[in-house]
Amino acid sequence: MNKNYFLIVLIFILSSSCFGDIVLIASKASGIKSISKSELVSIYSGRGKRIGSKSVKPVMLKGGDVHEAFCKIFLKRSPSSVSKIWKKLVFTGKASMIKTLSDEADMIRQVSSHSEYLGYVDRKNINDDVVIVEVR
Amino acid sequence: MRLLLFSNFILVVASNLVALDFSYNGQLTQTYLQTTGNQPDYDGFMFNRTDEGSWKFTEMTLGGSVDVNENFRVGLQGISRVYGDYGNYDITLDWGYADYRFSDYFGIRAGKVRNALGLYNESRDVDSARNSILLSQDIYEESYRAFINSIIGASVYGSFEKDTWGTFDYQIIFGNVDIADDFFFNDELAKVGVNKSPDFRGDWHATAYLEYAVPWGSRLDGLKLAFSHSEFRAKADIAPVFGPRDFEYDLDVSTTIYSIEYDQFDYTLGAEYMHRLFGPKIPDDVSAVYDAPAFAALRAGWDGILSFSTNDVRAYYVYGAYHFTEKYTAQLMYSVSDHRGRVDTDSNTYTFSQRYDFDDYVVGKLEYKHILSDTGKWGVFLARLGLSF
Repeated sequence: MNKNYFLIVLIFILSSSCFGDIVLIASKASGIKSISKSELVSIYSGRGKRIGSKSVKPVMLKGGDVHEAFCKIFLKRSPSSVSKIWKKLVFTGKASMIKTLSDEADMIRQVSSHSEYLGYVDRKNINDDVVIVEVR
Repeated sequence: MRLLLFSNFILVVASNLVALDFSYNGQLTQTYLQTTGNQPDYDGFMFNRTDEGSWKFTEMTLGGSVDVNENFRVGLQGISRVYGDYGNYDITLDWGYADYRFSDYFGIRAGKVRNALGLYNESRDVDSARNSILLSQDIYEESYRAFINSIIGASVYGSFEKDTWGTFDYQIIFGNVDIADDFFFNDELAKVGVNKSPDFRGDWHATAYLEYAVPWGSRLDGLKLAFSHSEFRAKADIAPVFGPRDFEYDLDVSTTIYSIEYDQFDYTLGAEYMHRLFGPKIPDDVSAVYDAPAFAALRAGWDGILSFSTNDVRAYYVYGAYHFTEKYTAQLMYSVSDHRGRVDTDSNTYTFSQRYDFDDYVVGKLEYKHILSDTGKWGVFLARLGLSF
């Protein structure tokens, strides 16, 4: 029993570390410090456009482990499910396609230079150009 | 076609001139369809005798939109379809509207807007947003598309979210439907000899759509419930080839759909139940003549196309999809319909669909439907390749 329990915990820890530690980021100029769970889901589902009174635009990575982890941990959806949501919005005229970026370096570059962008990266890749947005 | 291209051109030029945020999108799907078994001669408009296979099932859309500012956007999309004997690559405006969002809670759209009826009517032309090739034909009948596809008028919409109680979305749409825009209904009237010069048209149409999603991170996160109701009246000046006299025909149609969907990382489950009531209004003297035995055969033929008596349709479907990998998804659907009226028919449809995403732009799908109804037992095989950008 104890062995099984240990194994489960080990698998959980290993799988978590595979996904890394994903954090939400915004530009320093944005003044955004935190976001509620519902605001986050709403913005990445194309329904909401604001954090409090601030207008924001979500950006996503094109693919990869960090993107998959973000979709799973923060949105509780698969990347393909998130992609379907956006295609539905775009092809019914409700939103423009979400901006997608090729890698985390580009994500940090774009977010730091656009005060309205909201993005995500692995915590280990973060630098001083962006701030971490806390999910409350 | 010229008007749509011109409108898109204007959007592009305008957005460049004033440095607006312009985006464009397009889709192309080509489908192969083949029916097998004891298919009835008449079963809706789309599966009419294709036992030798048919490639005449193509859809294309091209659209664009401009974010004028953070609250205001305009856009349009043209659609061209060939659907068996219908469509013939005619290009029509799929949607086109101006959208002003006062806040996340309240916005207004005006123009030709997609009709939010059930979970899928609004996105019925967005192949890449679903796993199956065809939606459940018991609820999203292609033969009924002309009535419910889009509404020319205005809609109000909004979304309320709280971490504690979840998300509540609403849309209320009011206006009219341009039936002629959505091909084939008037053609069908002509085929069965109802009209010398068919002229079926919408009078007014109203739809309310309400959706609730449970809070993020809660035990049932991923669960969505929706209710939608639509009322419309259509009119036709009927000039029968055989019959007592020309007359005006009114048709009141009421549709209610209850929906549930549970979307998880690896799988999605869903179900919808629909109740639709057709209430035709025919002058008494005309109705008396058509009730005579001499007209029985004629009337029976018409009833499939144009309701001459109250029809009550109840339908539901349940489905489950499993995402085996990021690229491959398989889905099973069971769909039932029960038509009660002058012509009583029941049908059960089993559908197995497979979807493969080659990349972000190209999707391949295979689908088999097994249909058991009072009028026959047959299968439909479909294969589709879709491109979207």
